[in-house]
Amino acid sequence: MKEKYVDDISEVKDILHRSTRTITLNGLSGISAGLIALMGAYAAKLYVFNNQSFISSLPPELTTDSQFKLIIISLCTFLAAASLAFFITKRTTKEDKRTNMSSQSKKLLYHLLTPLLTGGVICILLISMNLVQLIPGMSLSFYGIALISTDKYTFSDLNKLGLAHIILGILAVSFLKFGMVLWMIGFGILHIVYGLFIQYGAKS
Amino acid sequence: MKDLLKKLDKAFENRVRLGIMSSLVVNEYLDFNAIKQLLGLTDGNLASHMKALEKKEYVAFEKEFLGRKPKTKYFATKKGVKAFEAHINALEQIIKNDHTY
Repeated sequence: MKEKYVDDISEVKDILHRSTRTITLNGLSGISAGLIALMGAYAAKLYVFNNQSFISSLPPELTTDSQFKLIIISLCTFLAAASLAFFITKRTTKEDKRTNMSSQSKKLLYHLLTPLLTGGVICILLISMNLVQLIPGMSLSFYGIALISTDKYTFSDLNKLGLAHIILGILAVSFLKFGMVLWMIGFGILHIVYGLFIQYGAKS
Repeated sequence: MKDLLKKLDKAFENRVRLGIMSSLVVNEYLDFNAIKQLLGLTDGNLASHMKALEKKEYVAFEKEFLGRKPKTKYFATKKGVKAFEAHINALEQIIKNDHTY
């Protein structure tokens, strides 16, 4: 008889958990996002920053042409990483029917996109105001906040990844010289490590 | 122990009803199909259990139209949330008081 009560409680916990969360991120989406970020950083170094070393302050002034290139590279990097992650996740979620997709996905998107788009608009404004040095720190921080605000709606623990990005973002604003390196550590390496961890680490 | 058992809500004795209530307590509202998918139930099964909860006034619904398609949104009433919390508390106490575990 008692067993029934214990089962009841665990069933309730399971439903509470499942019914508020929509997606399980696949490790591959983290790895692919990380690789794309590193490629994006390299493209920016090559085409915008005259191939200057990653460990050096970003130029205080960019020509209009370079500003435009930087915005295009950033958007392409973001769109490539996001759409790849989206398709990988969508494919794996389809196989997994446990979730409550409809109403919660909208909330997930809202909580993800609000900080993300705010950060995106601010970064584009910073580029056009020639405050390029602040971009690495700003993009890291806003992305971290976006991850933390989605924490309630996914099965994957995104708040630690988000917190790490926020810390890197603050560091990147404090030490402008290392902005680019910290950006690559955050968006590149952390994503890859996180992806490897959920893909191979969590299963064992 | 007897007193604790009395605190359990008969309406939630059934696992499906407990499941329906759980999903509605944490979500502002859910539509019929979402609950059905979440709990892995058939239309008829969910409908009959839902009816029972409606009768107790633990859940209520609103119908709205998306274009021409009717959509039924279910949500937990205040009375339902209270009853659910009391039931869960009672369950937890019964388990805690039992030392065979």
